[in-house]
Amino acid sequence: MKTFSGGPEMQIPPSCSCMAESLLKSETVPSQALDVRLGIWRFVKRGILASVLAVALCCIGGHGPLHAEGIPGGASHVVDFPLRVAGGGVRAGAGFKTSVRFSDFCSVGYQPVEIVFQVPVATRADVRLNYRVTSLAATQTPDDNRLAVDIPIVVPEGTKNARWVRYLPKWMMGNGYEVIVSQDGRPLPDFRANVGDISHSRISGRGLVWEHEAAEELAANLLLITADAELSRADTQALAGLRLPWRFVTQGPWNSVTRSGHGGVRRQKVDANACGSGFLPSDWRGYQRWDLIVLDKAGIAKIKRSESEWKALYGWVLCGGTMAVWDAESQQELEKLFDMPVSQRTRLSKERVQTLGISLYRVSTESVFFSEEGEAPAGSPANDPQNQRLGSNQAGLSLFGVGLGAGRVISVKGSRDMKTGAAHTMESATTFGDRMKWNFYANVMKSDCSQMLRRGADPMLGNREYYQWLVPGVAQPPVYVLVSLLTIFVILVGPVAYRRTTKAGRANLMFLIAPVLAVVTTVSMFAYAFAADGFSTVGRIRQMTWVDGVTGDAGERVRATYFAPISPGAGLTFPGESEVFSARRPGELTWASRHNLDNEPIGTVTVTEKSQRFNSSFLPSRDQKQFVSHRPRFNLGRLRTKPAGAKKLGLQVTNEFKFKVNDAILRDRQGQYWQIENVGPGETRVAVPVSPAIASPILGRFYIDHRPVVVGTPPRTRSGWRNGVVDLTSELSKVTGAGGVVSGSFETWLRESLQIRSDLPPGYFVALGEVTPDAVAVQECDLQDSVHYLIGTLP
Amino acid sequence: MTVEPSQNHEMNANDKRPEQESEAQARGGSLSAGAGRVDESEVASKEIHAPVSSDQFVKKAGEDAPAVHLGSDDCIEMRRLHRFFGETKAVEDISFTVRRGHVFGYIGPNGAGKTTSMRILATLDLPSYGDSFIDGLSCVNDPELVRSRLGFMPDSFGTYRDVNCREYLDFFARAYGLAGAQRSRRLRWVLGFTGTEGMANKPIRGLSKGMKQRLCLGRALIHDPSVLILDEPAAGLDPRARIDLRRMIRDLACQGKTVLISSHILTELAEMCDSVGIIEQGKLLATGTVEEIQNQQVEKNELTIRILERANEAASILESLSNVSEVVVDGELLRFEFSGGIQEQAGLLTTLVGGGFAVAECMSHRKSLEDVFLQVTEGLVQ
Repeated sequence: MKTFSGGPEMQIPPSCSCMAESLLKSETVPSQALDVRLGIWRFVKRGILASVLAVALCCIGGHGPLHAEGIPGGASHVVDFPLRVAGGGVRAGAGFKTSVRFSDFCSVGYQPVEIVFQVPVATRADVRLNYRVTSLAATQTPDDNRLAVDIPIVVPEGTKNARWVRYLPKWMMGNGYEVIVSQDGRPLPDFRANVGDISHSRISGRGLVWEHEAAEELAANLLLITADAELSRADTQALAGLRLPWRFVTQGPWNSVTRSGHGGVRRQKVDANACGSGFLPSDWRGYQRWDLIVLDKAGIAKIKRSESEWKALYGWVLCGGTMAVWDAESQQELEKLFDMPVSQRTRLSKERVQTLGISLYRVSTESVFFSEEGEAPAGSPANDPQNQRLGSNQAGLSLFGVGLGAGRVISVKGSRDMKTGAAHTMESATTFGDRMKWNFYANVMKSDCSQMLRRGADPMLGNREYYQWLVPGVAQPPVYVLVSLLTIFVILVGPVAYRRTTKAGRANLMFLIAPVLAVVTTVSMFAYAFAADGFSTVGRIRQMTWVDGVTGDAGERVRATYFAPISPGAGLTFPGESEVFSARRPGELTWASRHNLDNEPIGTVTVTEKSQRFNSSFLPSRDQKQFVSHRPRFNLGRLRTKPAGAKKLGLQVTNEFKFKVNDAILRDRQGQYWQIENVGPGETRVAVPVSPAIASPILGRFYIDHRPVVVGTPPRTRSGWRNGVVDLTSELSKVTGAGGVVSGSFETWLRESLQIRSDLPPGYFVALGEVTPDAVAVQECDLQDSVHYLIGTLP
Repeated sequence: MTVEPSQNHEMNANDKRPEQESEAQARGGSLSAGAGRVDESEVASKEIHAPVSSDQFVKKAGEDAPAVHLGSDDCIEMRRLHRFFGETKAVEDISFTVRRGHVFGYIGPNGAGKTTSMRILATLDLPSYGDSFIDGLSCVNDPELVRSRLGFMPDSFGTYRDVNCREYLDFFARAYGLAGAQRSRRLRWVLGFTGTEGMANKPIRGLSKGMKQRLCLGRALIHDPSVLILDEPAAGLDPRARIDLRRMIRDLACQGKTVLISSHILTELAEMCDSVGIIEQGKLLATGTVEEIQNQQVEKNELTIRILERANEAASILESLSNVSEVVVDGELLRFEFSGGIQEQAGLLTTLVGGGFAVAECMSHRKSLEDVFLQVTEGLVQ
């Protein structure tokens, strides 16, 4: 596999998978026949034939990936252009062939799309293509959330084969699309088809579609990445032999995906997938469909060799993902693996588990040894009160973990299975055959399994949090001004004009004066209403950047509300690598009643490598619209500290960010709090030591001063599985046991740390900075009530 | 039991046993907001984790849960509540929960921080940090929704002297957005419940203190809140009015309303409340049911035993026991201090009866809530 530097464009490899797939699908697929073919393909794929065929072809080919690399889960739905005409021939088309491949991803998020371009002879000029992908209302839900996505592609002169991978925003559930290919702005004949899961059985069960997808949100989705492209025989046997309430089926990368069961003691549903490290996505959004990624040290080492693959995986963790390293033997080993300062801890304390955002309750049900901060009770479980409480001195797990941005890397070391008493050795661990660990990972992730809850935004239904983030004071009806204008009108028409004209004996002039004054008043009212909110777009931004102090990389979340008196022609522009969702105003309609609405798409999104431009339809005039975006940020900077003063009792802080830090509270690794204010970019200042009693109210103030507050009284809505879901996040939260938390992992951590506990873990800081320009999606936007929280670890 | 298990046996929030602490942290320490409730609801949701079909959703998740109520039955929660006024720590690290339909007594000397914490709960003030929750809704982030679920009766309340009771209640009913038949129905119910029907058309200026208190309670109830916060509702009332108020509060609790009440009349609180919290200098010193607090605070019970014969001999036997002290013989009566639970007490009586002593009567003198309050608090004022 060859990757061009600086972009996802790649040369097409000779792919056995393509051959296998092309045997199963004809190259040109009429849209009507597509259902049947896809049905056959799915059937075959599930069966033995596909795997046998793929393996056989792989052997014939000798090498090369089996499937479209970089498409998480593999390319399940493919459409080839130009389409075949009746009789099987191909109409004289545009002189090139192109394929558009989609994954089987059905949930809300980002749909990876692979575009392949082929010409028999190298192009003699640049070819400007546009692929328009529109979600099909009949196959996705809810209907009023359709998006049309434009993917402009310029095929450079001299190209024969090329391939691009783009990630398209997806605000509906389901995966049926209409694809139209245009060249130089003109749609090409026979380059239009429907693709995806568009079978009518799915459509007829529309009421069930969303419930099926909601169930997917509630499953713990695990991904196992192995160092080898194919799972090793030992791994396969070990995984198949595990006595889990769910199971792995391992036949090959991506297609070896698994089904799982639910059942077992905890009635838990787990979707477990497996993949070799050579087939990973090179975009962090490719991992968003998984809740936990499990891999071993060899796998990490191999992925690190491919910068794009490592950045994608690492970026996913920075933005709140959880990675589990299967075979880490100690806390120090895990820390070394990520170049962190090595601590003296042998396993995590309860406080550290909390800091990592892992449910302590879930961990404690898994008979995990805890240690006090700084203690090293390894090998002395009997001295551990937690272990004594569990009533076992011989069984249990040691938990290790480090924080990476908003995410975490964890690992457990099994000593002995509590049920069977069997010891777990390194041999079983390296072959992924440790049942106890799998159960641990699946169970611990259970309350954190919903992507929607982790990101804190539901683009389909919205939730009441919408009302917490309104821009205050705009789009308010100017009641008093209008009443005043009407009063002036009444006075002018009545006591003034009428009296004067009657006195002058010209009362008939009232027929002219009254309408003129009415028109003037009406125009004044319109003019005022128009001008009251100004003419520029107003924005309220809450930017949260979670920095990893070791690398200076960060995960970032931006919640933005925009209000435009006049819809901005340029629309909204977000960075290309960000994941953008709208946070809708919750409505009265339930999800189930949002189908057959036959709505036009909300707007058009233009996706390029560098940016995602949402056109002006996403921000209509005089309507507040909210967006939540996440993205990893590499080499952002950090707050570097070093001891100051002759006795080294002070702390010198250098701001390596490119923006000013207004106010910061730091807690060094010894637990001492420090405060520092107004540090410009590149500037160094000495921090002031503060006691916890002083630091806590300051941290509380950091939150309270910028807290989200509901403005006005939101309309009361009744949401429930029986009555109809109006607020999906709340329902998911109730079912997953997330305790009503729907704000996302960034916001939750901030609230818990600043407002509730008002303390920071050692080695952490929280700062208020300036909102960075790249967090604002609308040009020339006036910001109100905006804040930038910087959270992070110290180097 | 009103308070969370993690709080039940604590006399001092800072003085937890390790087991309790680990359990409390395990239950309440997750990073998710609503930590305490979060993990309880996790427990509750263990059996609803097979979300496959809509039917299962319907059966398991239920349909009538409030918008963000979390599955647990805690209706009021204070979590690490702090409120500082400059150097003064009016409220410092108060955490407790009250279950739905329970009456929680909030006891403390003047200046202890009761009113401050109640004002925060009523969304009239903001904490320095920490948070309080009504029905799972944050008083910091969701004040409007909290107000719709909350009735607050402050210790001093304003009344409009020249309007009559009906108009007064009607005004607040409209302010809460009640309209039409619903408003009329609530008005009738409130007037009836508070016993102010006969005074409905009388101007407020002519009402007695007790009637004004009833009217103010009616005002707090007019929008049918699920939680009532009553700050010194019995202050200045005559005994009959206090008894009526007590009856009304118990009735409200029976209807499923959760009541947080502060009062200085501890004997009444002991009878009325399912649980109490004792606060002094902004710190919560004890929480639990009245009995639990009594048991926690009382190290020794005073026991009186009537023995028909050989009382002196019995006294010498008692003195030899390690958990008995200060034995006083008064004719047939033996009075002594006894440290031990009910089991030990039974064992002591068995010993005496087994020794051939004619035990005719045994009485235990437990300390009242007032005694406990005096023992716990030090009378310090900030």
